[in-house]
Amino acid sequence: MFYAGGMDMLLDLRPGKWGLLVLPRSMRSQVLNGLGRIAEHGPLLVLDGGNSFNAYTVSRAVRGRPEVLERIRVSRAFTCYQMVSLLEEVPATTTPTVCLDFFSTFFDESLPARERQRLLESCLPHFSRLGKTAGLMVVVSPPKMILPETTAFLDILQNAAGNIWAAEFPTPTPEPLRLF
Amino acid sequence: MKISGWLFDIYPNKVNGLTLWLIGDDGQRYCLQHEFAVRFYAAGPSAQLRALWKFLEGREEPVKLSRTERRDIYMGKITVLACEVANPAAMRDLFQQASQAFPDLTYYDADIHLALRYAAVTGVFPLARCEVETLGNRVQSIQPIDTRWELDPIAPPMRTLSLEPDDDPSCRTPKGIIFQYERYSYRLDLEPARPVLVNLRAILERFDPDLILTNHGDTWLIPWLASKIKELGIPIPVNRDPGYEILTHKEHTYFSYGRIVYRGQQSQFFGRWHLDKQNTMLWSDYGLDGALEMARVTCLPVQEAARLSPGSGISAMQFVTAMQTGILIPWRKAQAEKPKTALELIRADMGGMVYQPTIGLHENVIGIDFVSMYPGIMVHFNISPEVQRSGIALEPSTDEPGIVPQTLEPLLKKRIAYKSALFDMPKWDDRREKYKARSSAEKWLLVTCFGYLGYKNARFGRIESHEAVTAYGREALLRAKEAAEKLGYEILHMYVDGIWVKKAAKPDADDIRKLLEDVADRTGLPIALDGMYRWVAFLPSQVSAKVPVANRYFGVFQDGSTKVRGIEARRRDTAPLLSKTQMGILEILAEASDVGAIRKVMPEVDRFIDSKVRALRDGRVPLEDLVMRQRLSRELEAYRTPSPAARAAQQLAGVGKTMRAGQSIRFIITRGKPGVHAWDLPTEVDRKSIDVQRYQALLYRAIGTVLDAVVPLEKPPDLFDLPARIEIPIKNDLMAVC
Amino acid sequence: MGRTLPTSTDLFLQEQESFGRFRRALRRSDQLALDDLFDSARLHLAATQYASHALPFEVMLLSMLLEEHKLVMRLREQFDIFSRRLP
Repeated sequence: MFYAGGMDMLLDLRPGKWGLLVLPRSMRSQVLNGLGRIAEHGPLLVLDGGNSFNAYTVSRAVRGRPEVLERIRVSRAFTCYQMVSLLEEVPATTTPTVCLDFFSTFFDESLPARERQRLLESCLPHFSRLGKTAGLMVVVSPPKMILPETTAFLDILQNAAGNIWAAEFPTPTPEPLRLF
Repeated sequence: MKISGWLFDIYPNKVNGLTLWLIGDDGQRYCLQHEFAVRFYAAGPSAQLRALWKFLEGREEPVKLSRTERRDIYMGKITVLACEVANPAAMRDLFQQASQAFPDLTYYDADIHLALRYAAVTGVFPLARCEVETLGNRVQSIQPIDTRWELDPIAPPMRTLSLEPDDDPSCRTPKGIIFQYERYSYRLDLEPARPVLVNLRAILERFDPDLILTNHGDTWLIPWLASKIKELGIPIPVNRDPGYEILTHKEHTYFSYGRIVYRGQQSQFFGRWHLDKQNTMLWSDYGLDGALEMARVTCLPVQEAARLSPGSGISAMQFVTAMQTGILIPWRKAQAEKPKTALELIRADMGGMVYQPTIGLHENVIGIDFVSMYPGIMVHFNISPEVQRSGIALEPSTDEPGIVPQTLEPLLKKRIAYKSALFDMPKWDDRREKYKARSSAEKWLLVTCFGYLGYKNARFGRIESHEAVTAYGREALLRAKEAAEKLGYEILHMYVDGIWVKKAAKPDADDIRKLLEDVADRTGLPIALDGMYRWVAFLPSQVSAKVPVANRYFGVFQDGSTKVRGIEARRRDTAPLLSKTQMGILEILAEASDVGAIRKVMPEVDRFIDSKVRALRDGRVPLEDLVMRQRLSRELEAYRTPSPAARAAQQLAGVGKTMRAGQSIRFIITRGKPGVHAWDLPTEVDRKSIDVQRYQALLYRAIGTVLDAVVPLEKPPDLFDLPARIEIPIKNDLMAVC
Repeated sequence: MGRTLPTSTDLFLQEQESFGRFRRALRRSDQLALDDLFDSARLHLAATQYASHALPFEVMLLSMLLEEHKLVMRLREQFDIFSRRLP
């Protein structure tokens, strides 16, 4: 279990290698609280790949102060193509960036896994680029249902990441009882 | 040779160009071939485009390559590689090869339906009247002589063969098939199958129907036919075009708009239409006219237009507009959101304005509605992904209309034209039904266009545009509220595009007109009277009598007709017993000329309720009236605690009927375990096992929903012999169903 | 679709839940009064959401106060009427 203080440490964004944070979905609000606290000290760019940027949660973490909320810029991606587009368009500035729920758009089953993997891999050079200039943290929460791509995609990210932090995951739910 | 007639079918020709079927004015059916090359485009770094050029040149399929300029909706004029193929049937494979070899390029116009391309280039759409110059069976030139927006299109004369199994295949295996055409109607046994096939072949050869209208054709009849044709080896000219197999789309389940949708199997023919009454848009209310209008307006062939999924109709129309105006249609939507601050997100990420209603019974209520509000906003204020905007100015835009308003405007105009025509049309005018059908087709498309604007995969969708529309909508509603309050009205409820108001003194026609004018003036949007209610009851939540719930009411108009929203009677998953009882009570209440007179009809209400309750207790309610419906929210194996629908689906699986996620399961509630009896089981439910207690509790609750609002609880108890509220524990899962 | 932030009802329920422990420790009669207070906030959810306030709970408090004040105004009026009737 991470304490709020711990989350601050993890979301310590500094230019250099980019970081990968692997967390269960249940820890989402702690991440958002952490984003709020980062914004108390300076600007922040959030790329939301899982429709999870609950601005109210962040707002509560900073007691609703508008000057803090205005320092956080958010762009949402709803498809993996949009995610790639977002990363391509982020200029290399000194604004630290957090990529929230990066995996979500890449588990859209309507696209073949091969294509999604290609797109995922095309994000990596942008991660390095943004990590070098400003500091980048990529937060992923693997989906509950374990798909074949899950391990492959996680491996790709873990091999490319500069630093990796992974939280304790709750024990997997038992297989549903089958009738026949 | 000159032919004039209607475009009946269109599909890629196996060799070159496309095949057109025309129903001629002379009564003949013409099968023609038209040369029609199709193009896709690629953009990207020149080195890669050069490599793509070489790659395409080296393919088997002959292509015409060129470098040209076209308009991307966001980037303006860009240089693209154009790849033209004379054989549209080959486009798919060729494009697949290209996009796999060069995945990083941006592609356009790659996966557009042939009928849309044709309509964009020639102006000829399915069911269009046209004039064709032919040489042999080859089209030299083709001209449309009417438009998609025609209010009274002349329909082609069609020959219809109707085929129906004698039983619902989802309940019991049918034993026979019923044929109907011209004045003939007869039934044949399904086994042996040979005479059925031979008979069908004879009808197809002699009668040559244009339309084969089935019941359960997509899911059962046509697959059955196809398997028998194979088994017995008897060729049947189901397709008018020989050399084609019946086109079958397999069933599949997909996730759309936040829900699991189940798409059953579909079968389509070439040169002939197959429409399944169970699977045809607007069939139950309007028959064929709704589906024909869909085809006309979307430019999709009738078989596809009739089976549209939400979004595909609007998408088709946008593609046609794009092609007509020289805008490239991206293959993959990649446009991402421009960054917003967290504060801006809080301000922008809202839906339509929903004002909690003032709970209770109100007299002399006026309901006013914005006419097709969201499409209206998109058109009047030029909301389109490529149009820049800042802030909300409630004035019509003077800029060039964007692709979204361009597409919607004629559709909106047509709907409004039908609505106004219907308003004045006498009841005996036989155009009424057709107008209502076509207007419903338009309405269905308009309803989906807003959702589509925000849809992540919509090529011309954009979240900022979607948010702009809701922002305008909220602003319009607030201005309407201000207009009404200024005229002395009290606001009772607002729901996205509708407002309910009342005044102390009963408003007259002049008052209403003034209200409508003021609102239209302040908002710039068309607004119409929904109706003048004698009384309306806005209902609280079922959980707490103090919590207001939006869009949950029932009321009686001045003319005695009723309007009901949000209660059991309106939900498709409730047992008909509940909805019939509620509607029955409402109809009796509607007889009261005003609230004071309600007391006079209460004895009749009591008698009605009494008879319903007794019928339930005595086991006299028809079984169909006890059937509940619930969707399977996931595949059976994925359930940890099976819902009632899942338990019923398990029973069906036990007799070999597999139900998929997204499908609706029907069942009756029974006592003990498993607590349900699937309706589609071969054995009928045993009346003695029906859980009458539970149905009674549900019935009382449904009755309470209506009565509690209308009859204050302080009334002396001798008016009913029912307690005001029954406290019977209802299991949570059934709560969800009811 | 496209909605990222919770709906006004969800927001309300979240805020209400965040006072769950406080409620639990109250006497039953006080719990009912607290519930009633929250119900008043529920009457103004549309305005709360439209306000787009960074801290929606503050607007909910204002809504509760609004309903209380409406009651006070009504009672004041009644009181005035009664006191005028007294000899």
